[in-house]
Amino acid sequence: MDAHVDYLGELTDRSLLPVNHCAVLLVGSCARGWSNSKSDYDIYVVSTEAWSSDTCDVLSLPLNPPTVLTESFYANGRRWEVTHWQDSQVDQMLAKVSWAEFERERTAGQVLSYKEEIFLDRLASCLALSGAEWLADRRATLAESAFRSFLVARSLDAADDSVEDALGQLDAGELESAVLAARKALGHTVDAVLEQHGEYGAHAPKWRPQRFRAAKPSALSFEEYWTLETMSTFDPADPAKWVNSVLTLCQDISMKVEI
Amino acid sequence: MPGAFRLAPDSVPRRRLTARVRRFQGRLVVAVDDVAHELAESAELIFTSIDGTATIDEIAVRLARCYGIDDDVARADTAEFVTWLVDNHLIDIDLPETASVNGA
Repeated sequence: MDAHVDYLGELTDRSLLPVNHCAVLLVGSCARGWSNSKSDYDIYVVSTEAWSSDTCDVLSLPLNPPTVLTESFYANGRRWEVTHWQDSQVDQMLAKVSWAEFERERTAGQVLSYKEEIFLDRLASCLALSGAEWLADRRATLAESAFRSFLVARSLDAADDSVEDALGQLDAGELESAVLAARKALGHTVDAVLEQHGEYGAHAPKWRPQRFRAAKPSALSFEEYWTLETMSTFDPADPAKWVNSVLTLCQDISMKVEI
Repeated sequence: MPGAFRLAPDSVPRRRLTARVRRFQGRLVVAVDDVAHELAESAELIFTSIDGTATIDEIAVRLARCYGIDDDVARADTAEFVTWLVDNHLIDIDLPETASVNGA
């Protein structure tokens, strides 16, 4: 968070702050302290009633009402993206990741759209510019939900698919493809570990090292992870050895990650 | 033919990478294709001890120490479960040169 930026003042000056808002949330890299000079300011505004403007973009979502509105502009040398959500939409997203839903359907991609998942991802790590009480209440509901289990299960399923693919490519003698599949398996497996620790955001792998450091998982050290991520032990003369070691590690880790 | 091999104490089991594993509500579930098995606590100890380097005997000793049971009982239990794992395509066995195949 940039202390010199008057986020609420900027939104008020641009008439982007509804009077009935429940919360204003700084989300994404700025909220995590991972931003750089090129990073956007991403902000969610949550209100009890619909908001609109003549210049906003409309995003469709499987919610009622079925849209959220975004406004983009440049200020303070940065691009700002402000997305307006309704409180009732947040209720609906949280209801989609209940334990009852988890028992019925364990794949997050089938219960949440991409934008919905990112909203809940960010709910866990955002900063309240306004509405700290609202945020604390919603975070408590998220923590009690099956959201984490949905994501862990999905990442492990995706890892299994990549492991199976890598083994098939090894059998076929397609060593280069096997290496790429093993890399995918590793990424999904590490994401599962991080999600187990409440570090979401698998949609943005560039932040995986930061998420890893924040999670400090006992299942794998950062040094081990980074050695594999950067393939520093890969021997071009024997790709199968590296593939097998990565796939073995993926299986080892899967045994430790609690869904 | 199920169990069509003879385990030696120095046989080394290896988990098959095609085996999928999940830990759910504290229990380990292992699966190959669409057949899943929830492992009992002692079975989990044996399965997780299979790392491609530990011998059957070493795993049995680990089991005996963990549960305070006789070494011979642990060896028998380990051999029985390892045989089950092989039969269910969850692990492979690196047989030592001295081991013989049943009926051979």
